[in-house]
Amino acid sequence: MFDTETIRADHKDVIHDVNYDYYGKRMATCSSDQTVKVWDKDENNKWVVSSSWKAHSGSIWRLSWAHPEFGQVIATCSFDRTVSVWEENLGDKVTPTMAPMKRWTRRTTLVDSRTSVTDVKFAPKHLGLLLATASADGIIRIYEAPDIMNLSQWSLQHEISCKLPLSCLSWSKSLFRLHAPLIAAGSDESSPTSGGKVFIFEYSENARKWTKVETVSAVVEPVHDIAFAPTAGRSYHILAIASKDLHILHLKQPLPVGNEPGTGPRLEIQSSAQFTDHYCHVWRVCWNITGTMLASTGDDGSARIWKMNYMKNWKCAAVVKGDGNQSPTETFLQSQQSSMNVSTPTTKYYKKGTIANPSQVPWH
Amino acid sequence: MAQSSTTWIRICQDGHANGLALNRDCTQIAVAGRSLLKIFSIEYDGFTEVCNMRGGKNQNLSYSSNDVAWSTLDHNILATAATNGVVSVWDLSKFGRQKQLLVYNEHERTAHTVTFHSSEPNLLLSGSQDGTIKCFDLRLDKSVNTYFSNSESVRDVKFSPHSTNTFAAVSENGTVQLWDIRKSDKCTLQFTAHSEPIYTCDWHPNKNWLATGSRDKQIKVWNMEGKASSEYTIHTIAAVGRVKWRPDRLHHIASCAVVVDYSIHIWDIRRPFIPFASFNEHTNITTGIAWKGSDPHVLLSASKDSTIFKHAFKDATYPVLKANPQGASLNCKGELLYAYKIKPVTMTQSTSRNNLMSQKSKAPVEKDQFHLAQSQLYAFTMHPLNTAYGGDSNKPIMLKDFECFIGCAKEYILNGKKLSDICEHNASISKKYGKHSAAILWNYMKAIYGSLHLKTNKIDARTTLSSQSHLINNRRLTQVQNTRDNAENQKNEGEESDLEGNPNDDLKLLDFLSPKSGQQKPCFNVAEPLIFEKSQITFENVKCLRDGFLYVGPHDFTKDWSIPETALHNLQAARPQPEISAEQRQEPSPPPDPPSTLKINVVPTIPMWEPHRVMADCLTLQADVGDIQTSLSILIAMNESRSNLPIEDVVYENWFHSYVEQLHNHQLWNEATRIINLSWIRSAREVNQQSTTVHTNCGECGRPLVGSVGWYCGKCKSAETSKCSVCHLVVRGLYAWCQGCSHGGHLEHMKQWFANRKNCPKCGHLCEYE
Repeated sequence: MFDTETIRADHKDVIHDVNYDYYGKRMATCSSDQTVKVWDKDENNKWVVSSSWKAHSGSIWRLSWAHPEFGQVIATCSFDRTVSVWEENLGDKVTPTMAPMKRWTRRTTLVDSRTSVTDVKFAPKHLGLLLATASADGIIRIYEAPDIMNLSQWSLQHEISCKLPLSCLSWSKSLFRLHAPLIAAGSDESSPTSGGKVFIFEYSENARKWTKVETVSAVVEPVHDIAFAPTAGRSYHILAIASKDLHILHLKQPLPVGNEPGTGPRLEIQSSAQFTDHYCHVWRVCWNITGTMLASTGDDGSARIWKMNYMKNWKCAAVVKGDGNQSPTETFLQSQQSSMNVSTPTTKYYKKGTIANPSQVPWH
Repeated sequence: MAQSSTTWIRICQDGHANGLALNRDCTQIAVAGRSLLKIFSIEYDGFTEVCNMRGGKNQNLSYSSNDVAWSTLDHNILATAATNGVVSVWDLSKFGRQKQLLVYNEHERTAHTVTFHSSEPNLLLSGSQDGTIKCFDLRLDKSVNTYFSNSESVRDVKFSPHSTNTFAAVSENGTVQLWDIRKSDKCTLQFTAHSEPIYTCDWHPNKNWLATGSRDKQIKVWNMEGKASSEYTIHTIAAVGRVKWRPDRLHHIASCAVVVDYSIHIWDIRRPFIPFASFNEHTNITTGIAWKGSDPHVLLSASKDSTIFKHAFKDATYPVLKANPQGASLNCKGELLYAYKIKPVTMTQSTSRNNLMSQKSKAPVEKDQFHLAQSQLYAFTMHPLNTAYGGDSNKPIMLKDFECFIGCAKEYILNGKKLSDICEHNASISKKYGKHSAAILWNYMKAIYGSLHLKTNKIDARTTLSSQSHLINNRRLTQVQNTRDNAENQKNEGEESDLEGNPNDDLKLLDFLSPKSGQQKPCFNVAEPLIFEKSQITFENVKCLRDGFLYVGPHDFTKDWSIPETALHNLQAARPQPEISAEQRQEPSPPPDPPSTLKINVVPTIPMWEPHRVMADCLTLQADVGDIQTSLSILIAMNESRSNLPIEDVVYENWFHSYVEQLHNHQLWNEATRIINLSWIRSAREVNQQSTTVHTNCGECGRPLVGSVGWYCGKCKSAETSKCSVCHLVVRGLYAWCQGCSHGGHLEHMKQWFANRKNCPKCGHLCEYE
């Protein structure tokens, strides 16, 4: 089902984040070894490091690519409490002799956090050049570069305080004009008594303020990652949450009264699915661009692919694994005979598993 | 031994601690700082003040200490290094002023550090800002030896635990020196360890290792056997103030910072980037740390926040537990990148039976494997999932999601043809790329809106068996009867169309559409009265009907992935064929799986058959499941008819932007532009008008060509540079010019000119247009 390419990352410590750029043609990895690597494909379609540099003096937790309209820009956040914005120098002719590390320059360092910065995300393009950061002291900070040509000037626009330490955040990706921007944030606070671990914030254009509109009480386990799906014209948002289980929420943002964003009734949150298939902590969730495919990764060392069918039910479509022998094997998992098939008359065939050697399968 | 818990005490009101020391038995702690020298006894659940040596009016500068040391043998002897350079020795057994036993006022500048020899109770070393190290014998009232470090400042000195006469000194110029205590003329070894000032050093209790901490944020571990060599380097997040090896753990070392970071970190030197454990209790800079004797589980610390802490290891935080060990990313081609931390499972446990065992025993092992942190990075490329039929051959070819997307984006025809042709073409394209659901939608659209004479028919089917006109409970079902009108009736039909969706008008409509009697309104001169034959359908709700009818089959990926062909056949078999409905105008047969047959003799409700509503629902459903491409393409192709759909403009706008964004994601610029140009929503069309201004400069003087006419330079007072070099007329439209000589002209003329020439027509410059 899958072609697997093992990439020698050569990071000296754990890789915490890997990200495609907007077009999916480049990727960047960041690691506890305090370096960021940017990868491009060579003529043989293999990933090669085009730049590698020491970006922080602590573990680098996450990175985010800006929309290419703003240039080749990466933001990184680190255990060293800072966020850095990096830009690739494309103006200078890159000669083969030029050391690759020189290609990315630090445009700014944001030092407002007093604790480890756990997540950083560029906002969707239509909101401008905005950067949201989440830190372990429970504060979301939103920065703006008022002049998109000058990446060294970022002003702190908003500080939103949550009571709990934050581990991740995500911007809503809706292009729907009447939807106010949303940010979802997750906390990795481990005590279940502290209540819901996912918070939804909404921006009100009138008040020029972010306010918490919802705490998702269904998720009380520590949250490791959170991701809004690209809305892709849908009438609702889909939010994937990596916690002890994988949660998929559908958020219906009510249309505001009088075409004025942010004045409508409350957000409708509906739990669409909850999966325990990883049998352990889910660490990452990520979406494809149409929001039709979700990948989740867990402590079991596997990545699961989920897809939604026409009944808006989610099913596991595949499991990919890299095993301990470092020769990854892929298994294909059939979807369970779920109750939802009752209403989907054409779903008739299941495949129970892969058959490695069809000739050895006994006939009945 | 019961593990003690974390406790703390506020040591003073205003001053703060600069250093701390433990007595030999680790029962008492001495804290020295600005106007501060106190002794606390360490108890199980806290601290108790034992002695405060800043008594009375005795408050000269020698009481502001940088460092304190406790004699390694004598309970009562302490030494302090003061900020004015005075090294004092204290005797706790004395009273009052007598406590200050000895005062060595020999350093010219601040004394940074004092330390006692581990076996010679009378030997005391001090290091100072004046660049000297002095050795004192407590039996004498002045120093016995002075060692000149050749640097401006000695920050730390430590006796080696491995060799009685050796001590190490570190200084602000980044060098480490080894001295033999008996030879004050020359150090035995000197090397540069850091590029910035070294603030601290510590000898490993067992190995001949020296750890140094520097302002360059690094802790380095040096193997001091023979010539010093660097064994490990730890990258911390701030300038390192103190380091202390953890007893009983070969590879662990504790550190605190002098700026920024208030935490105490315990590192495994084999994993130099992330602390093994951290204590985050202090609210200001930590200035002194010490392990409680040989107990690796208790750490004492003093801080500028005027507290001392006894940290129990069980209360430590482990940053690595909060760190996400995995990363994943999907791109628009459905490729998955996946990085994950490899579980440190040894290969000996590879048999499956042992695996269970090893997993259970992993938890305790895990901490020892802390340093074995490695990630593996994979790129997964999915195999083609969609079955498609290329061209005429019925041989299925496998395509990936994104290939279908790109194919459809490129090959769909959206305007410029008859709607039915567009639909037909696009249906075949959809089919070609395996988007069977989209193909059926296209066909459906052709059936509803495609035929010309139906163009203005807004309602083509509305009948009822019942004269009851309540709209309630219309989910239960019924009979559907459809009429189709002749072209002659277009006008009237068009009028009636406005009734759609308006209940009151529905009533009116239903009144005259009494199907049993066939009393059509006279003008409804129906040629083919009942296109859609009566048929009884039973189902649970209308939505289900819709789904069953148009629902083109749950695009069930699992099925597609496993047995594509069969699934396809099944899809086609199970699905009502829209072509049939188009040609024969027959209501689809009941869904394959009628949940339960429900027969109602008295049909209570009105059958609703609203093609626009269904169409809108289909498009919305298609969008909701992530196929905005089909929805929007159909909408564009529908042209005027789309005004019938009960969908709001803001939704269209959203779809436009979303689809354009997806096209951009795939770098399909031309297709995106086509979509934008075909948009009927202003805000979507405007996208193409943004950032389209080109600023031009005069080719003669270089000034920007501003003003009402773009071709006239206000400075040169001429339009010379806007003229074509070939025909000498002002160019309106496409202007091509050489960037070397700035001459140019009509694109066509320039092309002709350069077809067989290389030089500029005006100045002879070797332009060499590509």
